[in-house]
Amino acid sequence: MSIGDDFSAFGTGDYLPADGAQIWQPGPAKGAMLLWRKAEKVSGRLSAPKGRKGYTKNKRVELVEPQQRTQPSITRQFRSLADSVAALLSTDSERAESTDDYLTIIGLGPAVVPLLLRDLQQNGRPWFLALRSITRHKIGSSLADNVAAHRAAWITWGRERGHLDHAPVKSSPRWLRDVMNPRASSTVDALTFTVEAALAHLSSKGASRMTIPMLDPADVHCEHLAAVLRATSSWKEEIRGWRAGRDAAMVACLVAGEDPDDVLFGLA
Amino acid sequence: MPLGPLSSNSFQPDQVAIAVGESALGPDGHLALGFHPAKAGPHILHLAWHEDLRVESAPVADFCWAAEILPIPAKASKQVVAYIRAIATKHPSIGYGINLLAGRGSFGPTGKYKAPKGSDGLTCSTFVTDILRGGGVDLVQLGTWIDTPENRIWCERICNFLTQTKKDPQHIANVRANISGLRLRPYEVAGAARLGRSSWPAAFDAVQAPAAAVRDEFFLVCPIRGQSADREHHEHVSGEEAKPKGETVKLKPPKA
Repeated sequence: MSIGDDFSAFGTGDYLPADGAQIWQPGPAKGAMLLWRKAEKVSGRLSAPKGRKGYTKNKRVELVEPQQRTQPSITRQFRSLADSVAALLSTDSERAESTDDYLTIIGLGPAVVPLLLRDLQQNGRPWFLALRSITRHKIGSSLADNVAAHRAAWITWGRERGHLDHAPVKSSPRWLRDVMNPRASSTVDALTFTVEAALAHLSSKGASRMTIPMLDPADVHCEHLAAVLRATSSWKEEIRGWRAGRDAAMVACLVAGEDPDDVLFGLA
Repeated sequence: MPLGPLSSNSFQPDQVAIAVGESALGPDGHLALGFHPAKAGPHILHLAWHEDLRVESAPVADFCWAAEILPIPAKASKQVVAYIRAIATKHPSIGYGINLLAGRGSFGPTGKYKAPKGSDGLTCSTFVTDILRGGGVDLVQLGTWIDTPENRIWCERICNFLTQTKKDPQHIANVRANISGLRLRPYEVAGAARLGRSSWPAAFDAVQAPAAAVRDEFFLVCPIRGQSADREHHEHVSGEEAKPKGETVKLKPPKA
């Protein structure tokens, strides 16, 4: 799927009131404010409260009233801008973030947030600065420079606000459904059910035919995944995806604010 | 934290304990894992003798046990408890054997016991370390263990007890063929556990001092009473039928 495909389900999120009036403000941080102003100049869009001056002076982008801006037009515009900045974003995100196209994306405002999140989820492009600037949401400093953890945290955030769907889990084995429920209880009893289901699955399939699928850390309950990894650690060389699962658990722990060294103790 | 008497509040539901008891098989004690089965309060899980795995509620009537909490991170501890429960509910039948190195990796999926190639079974100590290793807690570096004459005597004694208790002759022959001076003693496991995660898996030399300390503390908690210490062994030796007074239960899997 390419950028912009089938975003109709996401709507514009909870940023825009029903009448289409823009209510968002630039973030309180000085950096974000400067970035917003710069983006404002580049895009020239009417994303700020009415009464602000200076928007009509920009000639690069034609002014469009918020109520006239439709989702398809934003999708098309985002796809075009994102495609142009994508290559640089993957190799040198700092340079990419200073390009006019990136700043124009920020200037598109809250309506572009679901598109940024979906692109982050599907293509892994690090739209962190844009997301931070538009939403003013801060991802925990404990994630440091861990890109995967930042990505997972933003996806979790997006899901919590209805911008992204939760992963489909209905047809998954019982243990995987437990693992892929970030809101699952983490009591010993709950972990026991997960471990027993995982071991039963392992017993019926055999280690060489058991697979821990590629897991998005944002979809994962790190303690349940760790419990499965622990119970199956004797077969870690035979179970496909065991080590990748451990990596996903590590990121999921960071996102959940847990110490991966504690949760994954002994699972080297 | 020193050993304390095994009681109903020695450890919490999300904790694992190492429990040391007396043994009639020698002066080196007996070993168990302490855990809470689902909705059943604190219990100990131990390999009492050949094909005699026991889950007993704590404290155990008429037997003195001492316990201390396994020092692992709280989040990991919950997972290890879940794993121990999964093994305990299957109540596997485990042979008593002395081949120290061949017994590693004895538990298959769903907690079923399957002796690895060359293994003649497990002792109470290797049962505990193998369960923990399967749960990601590798306490001891068995490759560093050394051969001692005392251990060889203990191995001979095991074979004699197996004979006296009329166990399968083929099994006894297998065990006898594995007699050596290599043995993991219960106090060594408890001592290794006490060393803490930064020292795991612990080498033989590192374990000896804490093992001696555990032994000293154990005799403070459980002074020798001049009577059967490890009743299972004693009763088997005397040919009596084991009639445990502690509540021995076969756990059923918890309902989802």
